Amino acid sequence: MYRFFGLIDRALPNNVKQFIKGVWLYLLVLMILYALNTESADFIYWNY
Amino acid sequence: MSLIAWSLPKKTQLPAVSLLGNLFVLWFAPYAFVAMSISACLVYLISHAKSQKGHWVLLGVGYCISQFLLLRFLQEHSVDLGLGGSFSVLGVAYFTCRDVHYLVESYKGNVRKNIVTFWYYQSFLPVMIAGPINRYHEFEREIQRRSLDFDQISKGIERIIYGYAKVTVLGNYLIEHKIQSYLTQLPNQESILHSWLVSLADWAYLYAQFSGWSDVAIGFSLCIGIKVSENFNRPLSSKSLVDFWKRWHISLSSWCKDYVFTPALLITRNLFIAISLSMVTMGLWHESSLYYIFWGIYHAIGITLCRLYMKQDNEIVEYLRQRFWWSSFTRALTIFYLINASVFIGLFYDGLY
Repeated sequence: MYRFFGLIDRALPNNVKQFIKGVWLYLLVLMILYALNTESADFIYWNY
Repeated sequence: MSLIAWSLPKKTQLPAVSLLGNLFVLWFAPYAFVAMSISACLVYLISHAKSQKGHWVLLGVGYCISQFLLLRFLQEHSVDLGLGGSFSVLGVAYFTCRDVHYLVESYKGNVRKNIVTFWYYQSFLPVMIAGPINRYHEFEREIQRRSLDFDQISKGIERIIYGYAKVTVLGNYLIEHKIQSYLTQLPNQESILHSWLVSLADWAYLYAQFSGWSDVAIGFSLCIGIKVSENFNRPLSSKSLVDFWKRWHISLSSWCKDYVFTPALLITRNLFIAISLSMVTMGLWHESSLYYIFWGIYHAIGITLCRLYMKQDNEIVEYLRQRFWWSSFTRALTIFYLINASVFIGLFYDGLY
């Protein structure tokens, strides 16, 4: 599995990797917003 | 916060960040702010007194621990002090650990006297609420090295997104909202398999929440230009229980190792007692209850058995260690022991009452 990802990592140019990472982070932000909309937005509650 | 840290003149950046940290705690948890200020003053005075003596350090440690237990008791029993406002002890478990660390290290002579750095250390907001228990000498080194680095800031922002996604998407939405509510609808609620599944979901939820907030804290620190030590290192891939506690909540485990386990081992010369004391301390750090004392003893038994096994060097054990399937088996056994914690302690605890 590591070898497979290593192959992809070496095969792709840096700007393509940066673009994929940007899209992935954008999707993560969208997922966060979706989760916050469906769940009660418990922003921070930490007893410790 | 990152904007404040970098847009102001260089000399005012860290004071502004520290002041913001103080104001944040004062606003959300005024009682915790008062307790934090009193213990910080006391710790600094004892640490840098002209004639520093061991019993003063012990007294300081005793004060920090009793203050922690008192605040915890007041919060857990919802005691109304009649002063208005909600009683919250935001960050008390973290600043108590930091205070004890500072006291002991200054007694050992590892801390240089600098009240401003001590204030920065005490009021560093990213790690104040849920972050790792950072060490003073590491923090001091980082604020000296600190410089504007956009690469580090972008890594910090990325880390915050990952951390917050872990908390909201993985923890709150997927595990709590979907999986745990699905588990409550399953038939055979009393079966052992159901208890295991619930326990596994609880562990996963705890991991997502805890490591998520740690990631957010580390990300915020990076945005300010300060690197904070990691708190989790893929704990679910641990080969043994000993390995697990080196990967799960690393800052608390190493704190317990330095300030509970080592002194207890030196005094008692008994491995099991030293491990039990460390694990019970870790349990009580989470919650001051009988349940967490049992939790500590349960894990101490597991770790002692694991250490006994690791000391074995006969032919059979050596043969097994070289086999690939054996390491997979020990990984699975570690997870199995962990998910059984709440099942066993729950049964034992219910039997008492």
